[in-house]
Amino acid sequence: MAEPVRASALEGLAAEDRPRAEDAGLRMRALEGAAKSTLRGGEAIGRAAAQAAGLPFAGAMTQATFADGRAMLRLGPDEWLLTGIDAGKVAAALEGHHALVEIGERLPAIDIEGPAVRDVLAGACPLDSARVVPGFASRTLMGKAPIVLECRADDRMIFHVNRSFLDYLWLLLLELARDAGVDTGHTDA
Amino acid sequence: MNQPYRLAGGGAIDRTRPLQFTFDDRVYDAFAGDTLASALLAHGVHLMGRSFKYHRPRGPIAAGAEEPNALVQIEHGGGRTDPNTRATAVEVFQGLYAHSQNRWPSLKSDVGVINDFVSPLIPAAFYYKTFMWPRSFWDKLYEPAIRRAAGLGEAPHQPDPDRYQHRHAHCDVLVVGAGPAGLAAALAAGRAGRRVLLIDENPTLGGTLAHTSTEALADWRDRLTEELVGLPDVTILTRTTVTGYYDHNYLLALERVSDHLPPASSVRQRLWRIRAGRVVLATGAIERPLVFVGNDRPGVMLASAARTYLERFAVLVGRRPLFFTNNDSAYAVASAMKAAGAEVVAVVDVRSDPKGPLVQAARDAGIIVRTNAVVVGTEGRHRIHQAALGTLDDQGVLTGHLGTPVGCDVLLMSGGWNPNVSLHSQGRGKLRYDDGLAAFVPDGGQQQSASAGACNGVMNTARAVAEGAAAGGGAVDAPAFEEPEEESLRPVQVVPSDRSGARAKAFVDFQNDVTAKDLGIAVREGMISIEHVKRFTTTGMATDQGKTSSVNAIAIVAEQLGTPIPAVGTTTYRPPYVPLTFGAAAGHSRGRLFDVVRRTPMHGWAAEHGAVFEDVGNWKRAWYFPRSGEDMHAAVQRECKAVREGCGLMDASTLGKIDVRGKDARAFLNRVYTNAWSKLEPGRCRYGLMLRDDGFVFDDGVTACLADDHFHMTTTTGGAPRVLAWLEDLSQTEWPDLEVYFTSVTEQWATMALSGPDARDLLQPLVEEDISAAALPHLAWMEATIAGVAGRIFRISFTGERAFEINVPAGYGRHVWQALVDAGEAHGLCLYGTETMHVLRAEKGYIIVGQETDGTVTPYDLGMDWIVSTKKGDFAGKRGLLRPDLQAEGRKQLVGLATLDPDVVLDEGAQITAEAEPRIPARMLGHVTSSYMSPNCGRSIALALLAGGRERIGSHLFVPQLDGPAVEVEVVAPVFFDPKGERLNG
Repeated sequence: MAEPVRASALEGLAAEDRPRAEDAGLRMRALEGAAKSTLRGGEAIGRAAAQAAGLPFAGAMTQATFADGRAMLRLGPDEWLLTGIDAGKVAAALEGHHALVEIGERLPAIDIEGPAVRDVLAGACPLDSARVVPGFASRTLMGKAPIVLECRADDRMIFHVNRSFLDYLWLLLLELARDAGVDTGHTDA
Repeated sequence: MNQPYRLAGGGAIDRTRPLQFTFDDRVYDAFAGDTLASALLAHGVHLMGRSFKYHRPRGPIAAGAEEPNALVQIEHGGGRTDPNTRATAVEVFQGLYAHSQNRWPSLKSDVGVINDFVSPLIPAAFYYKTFMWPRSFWDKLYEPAIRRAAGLGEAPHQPDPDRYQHRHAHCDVLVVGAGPAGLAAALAAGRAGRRVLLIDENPTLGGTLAHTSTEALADWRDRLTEELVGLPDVTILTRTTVTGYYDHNYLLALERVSDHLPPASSVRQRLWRIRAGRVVLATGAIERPLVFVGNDRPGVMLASAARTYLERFAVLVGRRPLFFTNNDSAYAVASAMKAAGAEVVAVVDVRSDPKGPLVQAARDAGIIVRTNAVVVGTEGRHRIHQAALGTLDDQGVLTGHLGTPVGCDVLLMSGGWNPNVSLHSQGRGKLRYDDGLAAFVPDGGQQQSASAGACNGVMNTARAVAEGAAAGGGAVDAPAFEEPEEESLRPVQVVPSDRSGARAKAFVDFQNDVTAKDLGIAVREGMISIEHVKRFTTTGMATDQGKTSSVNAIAIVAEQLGTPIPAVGTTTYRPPYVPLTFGAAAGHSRGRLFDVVRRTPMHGWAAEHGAVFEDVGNWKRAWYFPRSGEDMHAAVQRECKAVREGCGLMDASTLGKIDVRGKDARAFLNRVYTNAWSKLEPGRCRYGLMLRDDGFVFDDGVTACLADDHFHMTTTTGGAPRVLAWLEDLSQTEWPDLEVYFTSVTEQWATMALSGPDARDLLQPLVEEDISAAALPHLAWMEATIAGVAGRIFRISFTGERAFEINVPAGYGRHVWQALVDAGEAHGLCLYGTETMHVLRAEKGYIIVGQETDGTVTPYDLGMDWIVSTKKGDFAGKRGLLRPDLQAEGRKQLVGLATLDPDVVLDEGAQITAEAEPRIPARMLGHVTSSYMSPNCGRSIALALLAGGRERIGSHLFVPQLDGPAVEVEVVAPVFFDPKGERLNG
C-alpha cells in the first residue's frame, strides 16, 4: 500500500498564483498540518497549559506569547489557541474542567513577512493596525475570511484560517501585496 | 492657445503643461490643473448637457461637487466608461475623452427637446399616473421607449478593467474638509498628538482659501499646511470625498487615486473604511441658486462658481456678467471679475438698500447696482444672451418692468448660502432652521462629532478658524485679515415673474427637472409632508441628493402651505454624498475573490474525474459523476442503482462536526436533543433531532460517544455554524452551570461515505482492525487505521444500506480516497454525488432539514414521534412543542406520493389539491417537498407535507404541474424501499 501522503489545501492553485514576491521584499508561505489545538477552560487551566508547554502564560485578552516556534494565543475569556505544542504533553498536565482539541488539520495558516505586511493587513482587515503589535492575537476578518491574526513582529504576521478558506486568503493576500507595490509576478494583461 | 476666456495670468493651472482632450468629438486644449468644465469654459463652451426629463440645454452652474447639470460620460474603451460624471469634478489629462449624455443626434440639436414643448402633458408625477396600464405596455413600450427618452448616461457593457482597493483606517480625529475650519481643527488635534486623518475632495488644501488672491489668507493657509504635513500622526488625503457617514463614527471615503491621469494598470480608486474616535465636519457651504423663470439657461451660474473659475483656473466665465443676488457675497465676485477685465452689466439686488462694505466697494469700482430689482426672465437658445428685469415692492410683489431687457453673456446668481449639512444629516444629526441664513444648520449630533465653520453656519473666516480649532481640541491663530462684514439677505422663495405658460419654468432641482410649479402641483394634490412632496416630484432624489435644491424646495413648499419653514422640516440626505463607482464599492471582491469558494480535501480528485459540482452555501459539492455521453439524469440513475447493488463512495466532508467535551456533556445533549442520551455507551452512535425553542425542527445528525464525557456531534452541512452558535448560546446564557465545551472540527476531518452491500468487503482489506458486523455493527464506531492513516470509522447510513462513514485527518483525505477508489476497482465501486444521495435517502423516507422542513414543521408532523422522549426531563423546544396548535389535528404531515403514471416525476414545491381542476381560489392541501425518479423502485417517488396526511393514506389527490395538467397521485407511506430497514445491518 502506498505511504500516506499529505495533500495541500492549495493544490488547486495555478502555478502563476504561487508568489514570486520574495525578491520584492515579501515572503509568504503556507503552514499546513502543524500541531495546533484549541484549549477551553479557566485561567488555572491556561496557566497549567502554559507551564507544560514551556511558554509564558498569555493571560491578557488578545495576548500572544512565543518561544521557539511555540505560541499561546488568548482568543476569548476561556479560550486559547496553542501552536507548535504537543497536545498530548499538555493534556497530561491539565486537571479539572477543560477541553483540549487538536485542530491542526482544520486550521492551516499563512505566514507573511516583509515591510509591506501592514499595508496588506490594512487592505482587508478592520482592526486598528496600531493595536496589532508583536504579541497581539485576535479573531478578525481578512476580506470575507474569518481568521485568527497573530502578530509575531512588526513586519511579520501569521493568518490562521480554516482549511477551505486557505486558497481564498492566499489569493487575497497576493492581490493586497500587489496593491502594496510588491511585484507578485501578476499583470493585468 | 485658442482659449478666448482664459486670462493671461493667475490661477492654479500649470501653463507649462498644455493638454488636449476631446468633448463630443471635438478636440480642445487645456492646462494641467483644469477640470473638464473649466477647460470648456475657457473656450466659451457653456452647453455641456441636456436635462433629464425635458432635454433642456444645460451648462454648469457650479464649480464643485454640487454640480447638478454638467453631467458627462467619460469613455476610454475596453470597459472604461463612467456615466453621469460631473464635468466640474473631472480633472483633465492628456487624451481625456468625454461626451455629453441624454441627447440625440447631437447636443445642440436634440430631438428629445420635444419633451420640453409637451411639458404641460408630463407634469410632476405623470409617470406614476400614466404608466400603469395596460400591463402589456410595460415591457413593450414604457420601459424600452419612454423610459429611455428620460435618462442620463449609459451603463458600461464590459467588465471594468481597472483595479480598486479598500483600505481600513482608524484615527482619533477625522477632519472632513480642509478649508479654514478644517485646517484649524486638524492642526489643533495634530498638535495635541492625536492621530488625525484630514480629508479633502480637491487636489490641494485650503477650501475657499485654496486659490485666494488675498495674501494674508494665502500665507495663513500655507503656514498651517506646512505644519500639518510635518506632524507625524497626521495623514492627509486629497482628491478624496467622504461619501457616507454611518453609525459608530464609521465613514466611507473615496480616494480618486489616478482618475486625474490617463488610464493605466495602477490602482484607480481606493475606498477608505474609516473608524474615527471623533469626527469634525468642516464641509463648508454651498451657494443657493435663485428660483426665477429661465434660471436653467446655459450661462446662468452661481456667483461663487464664477469666482472659483476666475481664481483657480484663470477663466472668465463671461465677458459681460449680469449679477442677481439677495445678499452681499455676489458683490465681491462682481468686483473681482471687473478687476479681471469683465464688463459687469449690473448687480440686480432684491434688497431695497444694500450698503455693506462689499456693496460699497463694487459701487466704488463703478459697478451699477439695481435695487428692489429682480430678473423676470432670460433669453438665449444654447446660452443666455439677455435678461429681463422687473421691480419689487416691499411685500415682494412685482410692480413693473425695469427698462428693456439687458444683454449679458452670463448671469451669476446668489440666493445666499446653505451650510453643507449632508454628512451631519447622514450621521443622524438634527437640523435647525436659521432665519438669518435662511437655511438649515446642525443642531446636535447623535455621534462623537462636531460641525465647524461654514457648514455650521459660521461664514466669517476668523470665527470659522476659532470654531474649527476648538473642535480639534485646541487653539489656532486666525489669519491676519479683517474680513468685511456682510449685511443680512432678503429671502425670496420664487422670484415673481410676469411670464406665464408652460415654458416659463423656474427650476428648483436642476438634475431631476423639478420646477417651482411642480412643487405647487404636489401641494395642490394634497402632499403636506415634505417627504411626500419629495417622492411625488422627485425633488432632491437625483445623484446630487439636492445639494443645491433642497433648501429652496422646502422654503417653496412652506410658502405654498402657508406654514413656517421649520414646521415643514427636512428630508434625509442619503449616502453616497457623491456617486460612488461600483468598482470602488466592490474592491477586490470580484472574479475569483468575489466570494469564498470552499472546497473539500477531495475536491481536486473529483474535479479531475469529471464531477459536476453544486453550490451548497459557500461549499462546492460533487453533484454527480457523469460518464462520457451521460446527462445528469442518466448519471444519477446509474449511481443510484450501483450503490444498492454493489457499493458507492461519496464525499461527505462538508457535514458539520462538533467536538463536545466536559463532565456534563451527556446532560447537555439530553437538553438539546429531543431523544435520550443517558445510556449511549462509548463506541456507539445515535441519531438526534434538535428543535428551536418554538418546537420546530432545527437540525439533525448523528452523535457518537467517544468517551463518557466526550462526544462527536455531526450536523447538516448548512447548519454547522448555527448549531455551534446555538450550543454556545445555550451553554453560556441558559445553562452556565453545565461543564461542557464545544469545538468545531468540521474541517479537521475528511469524511467519506462508503455505502452498499459490498462496502465491507471493499473496506476491510484497507483497515488493520476488524470491521465485521460483530465488531462494528450498525450505529457503532471505532478508531481504525485506514490505508495507513489513523482515523475513525462510523457505522452511519444515510442511504439505508450497510454503510461506513470514514473520517481521516483532512490533509490525508485525498490519499485515503484514492486508496478506496483503487480497492474499489475490483468491486465496481461507483462514485456518487449529492443528487444520488438525495434520491437514495428519499427512497428510505429520510428527511433533509430544510427540504422536508421549513421552520414550521414538528417531529410529529414528520412522523418521528419515536424520537421525542416523554420520559426524560426538559429539553430545548419541549415547551414549544406542547402548544395546542402544534398538537392540533389537521396539521401538515409527511407522506409519500405515488403518481398513478409511474413515469411522471412531480415538480418539487408543487401544491396538492383535492380535484384536478379546483375552483379558484383553490384550497391547497399541502406541497411536494422532494421528488425523484427512483431506479431502485422502478418508478417516480415523492415526499410531501399534506394536511392530515397520515389519515389520507390510500386516497387519491392531484398535483398541478408547472407545464401540463394536474397529475393524479395516491397518498402512500413515506418509505419506498426496504421498509423494514433490514439492509442497514449486517
